[in-house]
Amino acid sequence: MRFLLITLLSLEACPPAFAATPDDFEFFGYEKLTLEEAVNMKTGVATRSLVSARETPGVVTIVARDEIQNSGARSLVDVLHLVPGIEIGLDVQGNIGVISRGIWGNEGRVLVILDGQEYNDLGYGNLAIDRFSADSIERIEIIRGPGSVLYGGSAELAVINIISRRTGGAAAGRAAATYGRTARGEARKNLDLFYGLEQGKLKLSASAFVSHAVRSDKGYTDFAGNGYEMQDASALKSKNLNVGVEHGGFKGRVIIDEYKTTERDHFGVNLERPVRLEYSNHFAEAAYEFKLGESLTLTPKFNLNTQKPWNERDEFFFYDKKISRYREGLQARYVPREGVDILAGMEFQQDRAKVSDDTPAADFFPGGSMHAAYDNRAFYTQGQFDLPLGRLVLGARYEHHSVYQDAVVPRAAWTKAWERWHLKLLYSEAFRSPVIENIRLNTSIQPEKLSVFELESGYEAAQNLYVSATVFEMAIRKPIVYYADPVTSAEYYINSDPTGSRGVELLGRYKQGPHYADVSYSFYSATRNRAALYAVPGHSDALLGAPMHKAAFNVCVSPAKDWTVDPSGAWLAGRYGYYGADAAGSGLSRAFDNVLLMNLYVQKKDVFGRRGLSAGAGIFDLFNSNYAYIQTYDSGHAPLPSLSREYVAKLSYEF
Amino acid sequence: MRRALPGFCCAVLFAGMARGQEVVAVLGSDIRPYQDAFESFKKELGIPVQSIIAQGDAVALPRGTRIVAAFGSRAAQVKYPSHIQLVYGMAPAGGVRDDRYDHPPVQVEMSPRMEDILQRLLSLQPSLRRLAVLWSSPARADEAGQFQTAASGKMTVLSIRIRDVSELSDKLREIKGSADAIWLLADPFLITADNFDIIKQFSWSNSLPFYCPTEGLVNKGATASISSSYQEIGKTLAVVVRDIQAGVDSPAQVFPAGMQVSLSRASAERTGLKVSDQELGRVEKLKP
Repeated sequence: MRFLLITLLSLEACPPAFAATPDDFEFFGYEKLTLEEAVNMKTGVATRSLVSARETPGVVTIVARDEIQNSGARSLVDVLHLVPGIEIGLDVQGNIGVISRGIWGNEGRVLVILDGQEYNDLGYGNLAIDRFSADSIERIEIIRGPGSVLYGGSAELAVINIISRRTGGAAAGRAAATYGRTARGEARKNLDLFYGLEQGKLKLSASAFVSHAVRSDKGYTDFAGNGYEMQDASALKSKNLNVGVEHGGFKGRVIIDEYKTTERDHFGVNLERPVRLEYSNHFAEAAYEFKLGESLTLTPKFNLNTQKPWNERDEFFFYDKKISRYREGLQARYVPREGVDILAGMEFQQDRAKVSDDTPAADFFPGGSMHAAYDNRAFYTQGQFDLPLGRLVLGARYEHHSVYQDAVVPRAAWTKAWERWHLKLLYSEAFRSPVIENIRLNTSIQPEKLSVFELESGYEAAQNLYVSATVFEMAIRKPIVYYADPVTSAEYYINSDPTGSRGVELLGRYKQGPHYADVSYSFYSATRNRAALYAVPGHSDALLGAPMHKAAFNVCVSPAKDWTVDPSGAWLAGRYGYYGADAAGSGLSRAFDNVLLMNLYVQKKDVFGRRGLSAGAGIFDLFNSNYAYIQTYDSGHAPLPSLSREYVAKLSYEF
Repeated sequence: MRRALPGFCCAVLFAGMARGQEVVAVLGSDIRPYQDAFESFKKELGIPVQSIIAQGDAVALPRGTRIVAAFGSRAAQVKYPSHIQLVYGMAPAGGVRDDRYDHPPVQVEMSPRMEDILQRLLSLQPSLRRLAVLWSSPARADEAGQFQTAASGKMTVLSIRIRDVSELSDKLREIKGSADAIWLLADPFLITADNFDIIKQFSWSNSLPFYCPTEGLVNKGATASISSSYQEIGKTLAVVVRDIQAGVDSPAQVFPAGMQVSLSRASAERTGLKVSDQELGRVEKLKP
């Protein structure tokens, strides 16, 4: 609380920041803020060129900064709870991850990008999804479907593209502090800082984020009945520095991200004491956009990512590997005339890994080596054609890896937006590339392949009301499935029998002035699942840990000038998982109670008449739902409780 | 608290005065442009006027309200009781349905009459023969067409719709060599910081004068603006309200009376616009 008070006092000392002259961009921007704009929000996430969300060849959810701020979201996880078809499941060692349309995505099947940098860990492909601050996000674009043609082998089920805070004009800054408590103790302390500057062609942005939180304040009990309190044994600590520069066609970025967790649940059987895991992730990127003539753009790009994921050095488990990925790419975009947009590119990437000198030999790479190096070459192309009957998008990607089989995936989409409604018909194939630990633990592992049909239709039912419906059917061949022995901590990867799901996602959006309401419902059925490790005994239509039914809502009401009241939440039903073991050691599964995760956040802008100063307070998990993360594969881990009801206060200042 | 108390007292007093008031102002937001226009409106009208910020679909008007002066699209699109005479301005995002009201609403336009704009453009740039008019929102299609009509015999107007920011660069390249200057309609879907930056860079690197509908955009790098200020729009709204109170019929579309030219010397130089000394003397706001 002390740091919140200090921040508040220091902000009070700052002079008010009123614009000296009317800002015409603010005026036109405000005038533009209508339902039509919200529905037609442009996104490049599915095509790499800006296209109206109604016409983009993907099923896309866009969450804007205002929506995140108004909801008081504490982290990216709170935002994802409100997205149809996306949910959160449990992995091992206190980690949680993303489920997409029923299928466990943390297994390298969902790509998370922050400002163009791919965050999935290079060892296992996992996400560490709660390392991201909500306050530093400008917007999130989520493809609720495959994106492998453009993004490669981690973008199989979904792409979560996070765009951090931007300047809207000349110079801008922001400081935000968050404090949260539950009845049992402190739940989080976050501090976000941002400063951006634009001078002529030069654009600079720098943001920093520090967070101390806990996974849960409740007790965890493993299959053997041993328990411990998580309040002091589930710390989540993030530090992030993100600096970007643009000048003319040049773009550069450096990100230093350090994420640390504390856990005792380990692979299911409790440890004697809490241990620390570290996930460092460092990025550097440089790109330049050359315009060659009227219609051709060439963009060479260089990325370097170094990581030390899942780093643990204790008597229970030892994992200390440094992994780096160097990628160089060249992308050409050719727009010969209006309505034709052709993209082609190639990428070369090399993954290198090295174990520390004191790593046990059993954890060395294939052939007993302390080093591993794998190359991957990718070629992709995509054409968008505006035809009288709609927009046709055709694309394909080919990848050649130095170890496993080549992968080729095509994509075809037809989209059409009329005055009030739109239609999308999409067929995509995608793949999930094995990464370093997949290959180490199973040298004969092969890429898994996904094929998806999607049909989406949206309709502007009234001036302020927009509705859409999506149906999908997806099948994964040779899914790469992870499991671990909860007692010995031995890990395994296999290409399992096929899995898949089919379902529907319904969305309604109402917007009137500063008020809005988003309501969604999503459902999946896993009748295509044959992967035993994902299966729920006695319920062939469900997948472990993934709610079959999800209804989410986010309502924002402005009862008075500068005030917003934002109830939000998700109702989850049809969740199954393992909760214990019988005397013979076999897992026992059951249906879990339906839960309503309800949040309420109230915000006041321009506090004390000071423009840019906002304060908010909220209650998260208002009804103390007893929500727990359920392991999404049969690997002997009991459900891990989430935080109980949390009281949150936020203070932010923008200038 | 010391600052808040007088404000609170004034608000209470003001609320009392407003009871039974015939004219009420509704603002789309508290952003500065609406506030500037409202201040000018009050001053011109010469009587205290209660202002309300539009918060949703409906606004609770004081008893006795007969005329609403709405500032901004959001305020204009509020569903007022059918007996209300609506007068609105600063609403480039869209119009108001006439059939909702007993008396046709009156709109005060954002910009001066097109004939007047074209005349001043020719004064600034006598060599101007081909003007590219950029717009985006379908709601602006008529206005672009009216520009062509108004320019008939004086110059050729190329009406260019930018449907998507991704096609902006291509459309600008098409203009190259076929237009002598660019005019931006007051279109919220076109005038964004990103679009503006692209147009400005194009204009500067191709020495093509780039004219805008608001003065603030000249500060951001446009060559010149020919506009009615927000204050002028507020003043015109007051004149219309006064006419209505006096029983004078008002046309559905009213142009602000005042017109001012703002010109940036630096941008004029970058875009190759050479303005005569005589014309420079006529420019109302000359910026370095």
